[in-house]
Amino acid sequence: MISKVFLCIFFLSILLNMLKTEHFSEYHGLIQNIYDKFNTYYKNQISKKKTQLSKYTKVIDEEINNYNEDFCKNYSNFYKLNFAKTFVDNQKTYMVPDTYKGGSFSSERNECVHPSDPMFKPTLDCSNKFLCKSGLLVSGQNIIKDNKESCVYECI
Amino acid sequence: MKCLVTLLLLLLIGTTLWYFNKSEHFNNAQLVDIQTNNTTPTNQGLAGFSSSTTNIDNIQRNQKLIFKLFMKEVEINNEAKEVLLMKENDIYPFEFLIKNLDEMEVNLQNKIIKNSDPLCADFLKNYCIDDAIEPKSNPSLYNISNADFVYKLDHCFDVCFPYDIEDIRKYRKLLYDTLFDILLRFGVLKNIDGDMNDDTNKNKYHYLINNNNEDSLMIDFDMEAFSRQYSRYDDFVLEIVTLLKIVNLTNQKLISFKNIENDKKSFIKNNFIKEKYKQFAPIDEES
Repeated sequence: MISKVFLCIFFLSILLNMLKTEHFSEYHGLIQNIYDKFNTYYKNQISKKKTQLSKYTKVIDEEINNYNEDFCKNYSNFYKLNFAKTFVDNQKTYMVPDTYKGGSFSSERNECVHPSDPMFKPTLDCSNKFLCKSGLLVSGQNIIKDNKESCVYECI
Repeated sequence: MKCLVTLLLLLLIGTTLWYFNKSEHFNNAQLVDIQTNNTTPTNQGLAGFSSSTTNIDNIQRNQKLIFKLFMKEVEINNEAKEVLLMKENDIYPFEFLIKNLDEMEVNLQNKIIKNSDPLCADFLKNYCIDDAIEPKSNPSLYNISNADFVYKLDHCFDVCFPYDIEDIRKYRKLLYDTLFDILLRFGVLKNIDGDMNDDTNKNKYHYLINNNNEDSLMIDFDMEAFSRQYSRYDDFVLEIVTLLKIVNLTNQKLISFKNIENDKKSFIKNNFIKEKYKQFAPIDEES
């Protein structure tokens, strides 16, 4: 009697297993389809947002370019080293460069450029060597002297 | 004989039950878990990077300190708030940009740390989504448990981060250099007098950004430029508003970038389940 009960359970479990497999087969197809669709959805979303990102980059570049053009036109200063204009104060030698205000923006160089003379630079670089009267070659340092950007040299 | 048949039946029932329990490949609960497993956003700021010895990092660290003091000054000045606050969202775009960049920098820092982890090096090679937006389909990559993959994804996703430190420096430079240049030109910050490194300039912008090594600093702001009575008010506001426009666009760009990264993470999760499920389905169906 017990063995008949176990046999019944056995056949029942095989039957259930078969039914389950059929269900799973349909389920698998459905799930696979859903995940395929989600993959496509994410791909499209990423592509779409990448295009949007490129648009932002382009608009930002244009805005920065406009800002730089306005800045160069209205505020940029150019400096040209002029060692003929040096003076000594408190044992230090000062050089006041020639200056020019205004200019245009060069996107290639990403800086303001002087309209005609390339010797005018947008920043004052005092590191070039200066020949002191004593014959000594020294590098200068940037300094504000009498409200003007200048170079100072420690000549002995 | 009866005992033998009973034992055999018990063995068969046991095997059947074991088979049904071994359901990792199509356990619904786990599929939901892996799809909804969110990462907690990190908001630690820049603490880890503040010790950088490079000159630009030190300048930008000091610029950030000055920027924080400036924003405190703005908070108590209604005219400045009127210019700098986006009322509809109640946010300061400049601050929002810094917050976005801080988050990016934390991600980047995690990327640098995790790049040396072999588990994450494998993740970078096999699971990150490249420019072609095409995940790898090698079946062996998906023959791991969901739990292991979720751990790997959450632990290693930072290595997929496509930005580098130069991009972040560039964005900071865009904000700090331009903003402080405007503030200097319109007298909100004082220009140096004499030698830039002289102690007489120690509370001035140029001195502080190059020489300050402390975690706090002192600097004075003259907020007169934000007053409508200021003679160059229109020029000043025009420049600030132009910068705000650029910063707003940059914020939108960074949000869009963040969304792409989130989509990529979801894509990797989804693709893992798809590939793993495909991989194991024939075995289940055969049985």
